[in-house]
This record gives sequence, C-alpha cells and structure tokens, in this order.
Amino acid sequence: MADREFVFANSEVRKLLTEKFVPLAMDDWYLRQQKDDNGRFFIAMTAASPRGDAGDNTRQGRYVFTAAGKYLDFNNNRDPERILSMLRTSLRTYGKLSERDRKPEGEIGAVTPEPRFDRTPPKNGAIVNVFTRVLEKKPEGSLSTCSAPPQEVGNFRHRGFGAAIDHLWLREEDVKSLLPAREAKPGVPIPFPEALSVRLTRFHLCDNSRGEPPHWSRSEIKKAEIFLTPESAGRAKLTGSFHLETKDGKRGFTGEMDGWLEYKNGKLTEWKAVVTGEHWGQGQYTPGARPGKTPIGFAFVLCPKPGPADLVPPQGSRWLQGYYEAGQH
Amino acid sequence: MIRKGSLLLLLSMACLSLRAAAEPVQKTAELLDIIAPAKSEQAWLQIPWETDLAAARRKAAAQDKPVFLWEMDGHPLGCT
Repeated sequence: MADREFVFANSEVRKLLTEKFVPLAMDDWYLRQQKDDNGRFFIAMTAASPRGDAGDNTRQGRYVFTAAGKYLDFNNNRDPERILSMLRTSLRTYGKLSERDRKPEGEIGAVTPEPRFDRTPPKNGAIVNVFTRVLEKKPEGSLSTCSAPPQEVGNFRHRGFGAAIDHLWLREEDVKSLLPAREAKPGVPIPFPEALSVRLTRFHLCDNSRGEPPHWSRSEIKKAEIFLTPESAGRAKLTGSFHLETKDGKRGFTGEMDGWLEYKNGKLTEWKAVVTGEHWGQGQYTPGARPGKTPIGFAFVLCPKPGPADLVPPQGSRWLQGYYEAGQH
Repeated sequence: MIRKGSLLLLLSMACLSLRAAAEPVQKTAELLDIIAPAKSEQAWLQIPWETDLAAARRKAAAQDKPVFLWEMDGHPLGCT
C-alpha cells in the first residue's frame, strides 16, 4: 500500500520501469514455498541477495535480476530516490554483463505450478473487486474519505487512508446460486446463499487498509444476514446487516449493506454494493488502527473484463478449499 | 387500544424521521465512488506489471532487459 503511494506513483520510477525493465509483481508467500521451476529459480536467484539466508521466512522486497537468473540488486526502502538509484545502478551493471549472464541458453518454457499453490480464477465464474477504505463522518452524518495529515519530509510511513484491494472469487455454481429463480416475486426478499454469505463475511469484511488482516473465524460471526430482493426482470436489490467480533471484544465490525445485482441469460452482469459501518481493533500485521470505533467502507464491484491485477487471487484463498467452503471450516 | 396503537405508530414514525434527519442516507453510488480507488491513487497501475515469473523472464530475454521484481507477503497488486 505504502509502496504504491510512495514508490510506484513516482513518475520517474514509472518511466524507468516501463521503458528499461520488465516489471513483475508476485506474492512472496506463494513463490518462496513453490517446489516448481518458478519457486526454485526464485530461491536460487535470491541466494546472492541480502535475503539469501531467509530460509522459510519472508523474502519480500524489490529485486533486479536477469532472465538467466543472475541477481543484480535488492532494495526494501520506500524512498523513491533510493529506488531510482537502485534502478540506475542495476542498469549499468546489466549493460556490462555477458550474453550468457543475461539470457539462458535454452527456451524458457511455461511452468506447471505446484498444484497446492496454483490459483486460477474459477472457470465460468466471476471476479468481484473488493475495495476497503477507512472513512470519516462529517458533522451532518455523511461519510467521506479521511483528510490526510501533513506528510513529514523523509517520512514514508503508511497512513492507511488509501483504498485497499482484494477480490471475491465466485465459482460457476456460486453465480448460479445467486440468481433469483424466475418465479421469485418482486419485492419479496430472498436469503442470500449461505455459503457465499459466509465467504463474503469472513474474508471480505476485514480491515485490510494497513496490510494483511486477520480474517474472521466462523465463531466471530455474530450476525451476517444478506437478502436479495428482486426489483424487476434481471435486477435485485442487495441488503445486509453484520456484526463480527472476536471473543475478547478487542476487534470487531458492525455494518449494513446496500446495493444491487443485475443478471442476464444466467450470468451476472453487474454487482455493485457497499457495506459501511464501524470497525475497531487491529491485527498482528496491521498496527496503527485509529482508536475506538471508527467508520469504514467496503465496495463490491463486478469486474467484467479482468486485467492482470484483477486476476490476483483473494487474500483469503491461501487455503483454497477453506475459502470456498468458508461455512464448513 | 386503537388510540394507544395509533400513538405508538406516531411515535415510531417520529423516531424514524429524527433518525433520518440525524443520519442522511448517502446514495450507494456516491459511497462506491468514495470507497473505490480514485484515479490519482492508481498511478502505480500504469506500470505494465507481469504476474508470471516464467513469462517475465521470456519477455526480458526477448527484449534484452533486466527483470524488476516487486515481491511482497500478500500480492502487491492485491491485498498487501
């Protein structure tokens, strides 16, 4: 999040990466554990880096390397000037390398991923982008983005006021279960499919505005009621009410959902909904929460034509079966 | 009984009106715009990120460029 704001929003960084490098973004949790050609290449390449002795621990950071696997540089700082320096230095180094160090001798074939780390969006399913943002309540009661405090020079600390991104994956059977039957009566609410309701609640109503959040367990769902109310042919209103809370009460969320679904010929054509409410507490990897109960909003928007960033798996799918069967595990 | 019922109904309506006055309902579309990333927050997405290591290596070999890897716990293009 902070990298997006401080490093990759910098126009010089963007220009250099776009023109002189092949920019690649990957999830370390998967890559460092994969026992396939991609995982082995990564571990071998990072051996010469400051993360070389990380063992099974994180190897996150920014690396420059060649197609042949020669490590060139590493940086894990948010100061764009230091990143620019790293990029320029590694370009000079690259320019002095032999052909053998730059390119592998043979073809680089497609890699068959180790099955337990393979995350492919569900065939004939749907991807719903989920955005999270901490909010402020204006004196008259409406919600707005947080006003950013003055940034200290040289301080690249995470403010957590930006929009966080995740994706809700729906399988083909999930989509089918969502679409109201033809005989459904307009104006009569229908309970949202239970499996989807639990998946959405446990994995997508989490405060990820400051990084990887703890997801909700089944026992932490005190209330999760979602209803679909057919309004007209091909359109249904979405409403919901939630209360999530840890056993010790230190972390929780209460909120309401409002939005709509549109569908045609058995397919979802639109999903737009917001869940707004109050969140409190923080997780082990998400310190810095505002004190007390504070406003937060989640936006759900169907992604009709996914680009590379939209294909990234849900954060909650590290155990894929547990994600899809959230009501059972 | 009828008078008591009517009084309760009036009280409920009054409470609802007061609540509506205190907490104006914001339209869902407006809230979607507030919560979703603004264009100014998406500059980092202008970079043509690859998401497959082998594909990035092939591209780097073909274009004779180094690979820049942004590696995070949590996908850098997703929840991180």
